[in-house]
Amino acid sequence: MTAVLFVTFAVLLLLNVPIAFSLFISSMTALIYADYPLTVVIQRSVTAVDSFILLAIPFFMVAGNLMTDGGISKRVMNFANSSVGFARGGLAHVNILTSMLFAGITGAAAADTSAVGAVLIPAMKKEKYDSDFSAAVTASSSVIGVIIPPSIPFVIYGVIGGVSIGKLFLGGVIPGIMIGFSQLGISYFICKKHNYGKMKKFSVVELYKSFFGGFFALLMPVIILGGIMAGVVTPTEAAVLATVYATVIGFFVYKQLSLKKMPALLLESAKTTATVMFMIAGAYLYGWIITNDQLPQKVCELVTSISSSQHVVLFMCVVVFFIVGMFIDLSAGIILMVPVLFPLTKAMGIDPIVFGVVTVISLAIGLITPPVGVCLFIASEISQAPLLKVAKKTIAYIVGILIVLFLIIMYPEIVLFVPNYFMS
Amino acid sequence: MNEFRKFVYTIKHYLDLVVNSVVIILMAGLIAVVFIQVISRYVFNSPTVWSEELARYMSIWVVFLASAIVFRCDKHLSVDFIVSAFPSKLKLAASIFKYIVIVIFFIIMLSVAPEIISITFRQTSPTLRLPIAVMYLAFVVLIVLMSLEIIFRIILLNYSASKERGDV
Repeated sequence: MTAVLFVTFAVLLLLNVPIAFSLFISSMTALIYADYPLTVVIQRSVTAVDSFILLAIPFFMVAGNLMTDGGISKRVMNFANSSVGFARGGLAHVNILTSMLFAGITGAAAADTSAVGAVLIPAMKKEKYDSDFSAAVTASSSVIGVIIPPSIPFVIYGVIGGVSIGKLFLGGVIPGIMIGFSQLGISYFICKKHNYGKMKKFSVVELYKSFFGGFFALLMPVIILGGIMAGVVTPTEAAVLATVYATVIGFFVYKQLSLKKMPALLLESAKTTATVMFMIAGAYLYGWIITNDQLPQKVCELVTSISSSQHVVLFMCVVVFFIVGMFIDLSAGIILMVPVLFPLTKAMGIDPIVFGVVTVISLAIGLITPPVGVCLFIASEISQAPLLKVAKKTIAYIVGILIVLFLIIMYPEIVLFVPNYFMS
Repeated sequence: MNEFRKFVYTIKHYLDLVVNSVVIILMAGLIAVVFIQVISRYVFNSPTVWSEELARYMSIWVVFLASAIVFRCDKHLSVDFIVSAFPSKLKLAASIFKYIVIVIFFIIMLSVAPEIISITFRQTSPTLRLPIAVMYLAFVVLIVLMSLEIIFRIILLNYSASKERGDV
């Protein structure tokens, strides 16, 4: 049954049938082959979508869109500019810090690339940064968007693996900040070598001003994380609070939202949500079939015959995710790989939070690698630099991410410290 | 023929508009319902029982209706870098193959739909007493909308192009 499933799936996928349909159709074929009633298809997919937890996805989408349309990007950037803009390669650092702050507001990466890139790439080019480097910094730093909470990939992982999303969110905090700092360091050396950027004077007054200018925007991550840390709200509830907060700020404080913008914004958010959720619906069926066929157990036996070390298995997972991530979208990668590998890591005693963070980070590298990296594409389009030239410049940042992954695997406390401290 | 296509085009136009509007309204409603739930639980200390169930019903409809919109816009994620390297004739063949398998999927789904709807019609949700079939209906409506989209595309093949040329 699994063989039929995988062969049909691979053929459909390679022939450009959308991933969600490939999942549905290959699962259906496997069901026909094994003589199951086909009502299962509808039943499973409705059950998959029928989840209060998954509602966090549309809400974080809407909140993120409201914040970017509502004039916060400029204010967050101003704050970043007055806090790190003075250093060597100032705008590169501004770019990274903005992405880190944005990561605490939105749950996706591509939105960050376009919002930050649209403003900072032209500004960097004006200050004589090479366009391929400008694009590489923008794309690489937006990866942090899915690691620092809120994060839609963590919601997907949590639902598929049955893991607390609040804990996953908190688990992403330190690794996300570490990746951010690694990128600040890498950029510093690159900028020094190429003599990029002007040196500016640091001004306390400006920092103070920009902090209060962006105060309400910067408060958003505090509300989301604080609510979850304090155990007051569930991630779905935090997401809806973030949405209402963003609406109030956008309409009444920054006054950049209008009722006219709302329908398009809601429709766009619904569409992005549906793209992800329809895949989840298809994957539920696929997951059900492979579990029925005991594929995870077989994988488990195979892998444990190679090595029984948690570290080795996690490193193998990173390699698999890295390759899968190169060809398949981040959320699709989670949906396809987690049902197979989650039972394995669980059986080996690997903490599901650690595995979640490792999964999301290693698949997220695919956002900035050719041939399909969304963030890479957006950044290279904005900068007008050829894709492969930008890709070459991202290598240094990918190495940075891999080092952080290595550290997480060797010292899982990096991930577990925050969730254990607040939610044990 | 052109009269007929014009008629079909108008129907499609209004159908799209209706589906879009329903999704927008449901999305706004969903935010409102869950917000009310949070407020009533934490501010008024009296959790609403109906809201979580209503939110689930609404989210299923939002997801499946919006999936139909995404299908209409050709925005469902796919792996296209292999096919894009094909010569144009093979590309066309792959595209025809794609539609054929999708249509077969739709036909099979529509053939099992009545059974599942009739089974779930008698079951009702615990608090709202809504038939569970209302959830399943969303999936069926999705399949119907996507099938209609394919029919529209076949009828309107080259229509918008000829419209731009002023033939219509």
